[in-house]
Amino acid sequence: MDFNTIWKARAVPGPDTQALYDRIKHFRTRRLRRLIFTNLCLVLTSVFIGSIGFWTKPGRFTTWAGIALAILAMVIFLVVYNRMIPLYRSLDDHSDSRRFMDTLLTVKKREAFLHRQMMNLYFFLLSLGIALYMYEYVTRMEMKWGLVTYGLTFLWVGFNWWVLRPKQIRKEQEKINTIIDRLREVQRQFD
Amino acid sequence: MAEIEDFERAYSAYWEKVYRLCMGYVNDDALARDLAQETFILVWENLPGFRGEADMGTWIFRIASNHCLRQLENTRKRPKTDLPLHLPEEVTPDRAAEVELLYRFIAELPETDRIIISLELEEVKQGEIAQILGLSEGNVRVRIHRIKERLTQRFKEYGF
Repeated sequence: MDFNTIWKARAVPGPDTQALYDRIKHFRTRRLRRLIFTNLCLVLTSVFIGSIGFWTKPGRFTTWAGIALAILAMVIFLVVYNRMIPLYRSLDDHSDSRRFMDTLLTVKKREAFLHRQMMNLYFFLLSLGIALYMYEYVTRMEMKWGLVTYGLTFLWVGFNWWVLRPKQIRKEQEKINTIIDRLREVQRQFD
Repeated sequence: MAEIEDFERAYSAYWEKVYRLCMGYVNDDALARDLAQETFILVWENLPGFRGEADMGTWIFRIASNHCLRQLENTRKRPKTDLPLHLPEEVTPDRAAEVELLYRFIAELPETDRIIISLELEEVKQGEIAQILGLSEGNVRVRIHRIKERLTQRFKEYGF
């Protein structure tokens, strides 16, 4: 059979330069918008937390430490999120496919690691931050209400730590691991 | 300005080849067109770094092959573009059936084999295919032989 002739007999849509340039523009805008949005969200949240400190003028060190830890959690999230972008830049689109697959696999493993570490640290710092922040206000309450407040807070923190955090991590890791498995499978095809 | 001209020249010269390569990989017209377009977006972005150390065709095919392989990262199905494709008419009904089967059989192969045979059918030299994929020339030759045998077998099963 003459595969070459059959292969080339395939109907091919004509090249469309205008559509291509439109898409290049669209890609760039979307990439930039996503980056700005994530950064803006976290910066605004940090500003909001910071302004609570500014307006309520806390007297105790623990309250300030709580605010600082919550902001630190946001900053770490932001730094790690932004560090994932250059990871993808290390991918050389025009290297040979075997090397490309090796790099892609390394990038995915690194992404899985960064995501897991970041989520652990993020939840830990945020929980500790909330607990410290509340201390000043709880000490002004009656013992009974103080216990209720901290009890509820620890319930919420516990729910975050034992339910939400593992769920978030599992969901993302499952996604990344599926990709890693597929990449490994294709990598074997190069041997 | 010269860069835009270079790009547009490469786009016109390689669009069909890249489209068919993507089509061999996914066997879906709309998706193949998306992948081919995205390949040329990457070509556009990487063009300032192209110093002519490789042949332009080899360079573009590398980008296209790597972009096809990156489809492994998509765990969700991509939404199909709603733009019309404006495909030209096929030559004859008999040939149309053969074309459809060939692309379908190729898309059933393991990922790297799809790329190898697509490049071979685009008449890319085996040495260049080896460079594009990072394989030895001997390996490429053996694999092309096996793939063609397999394709012939598949066609026989369909009475060709």
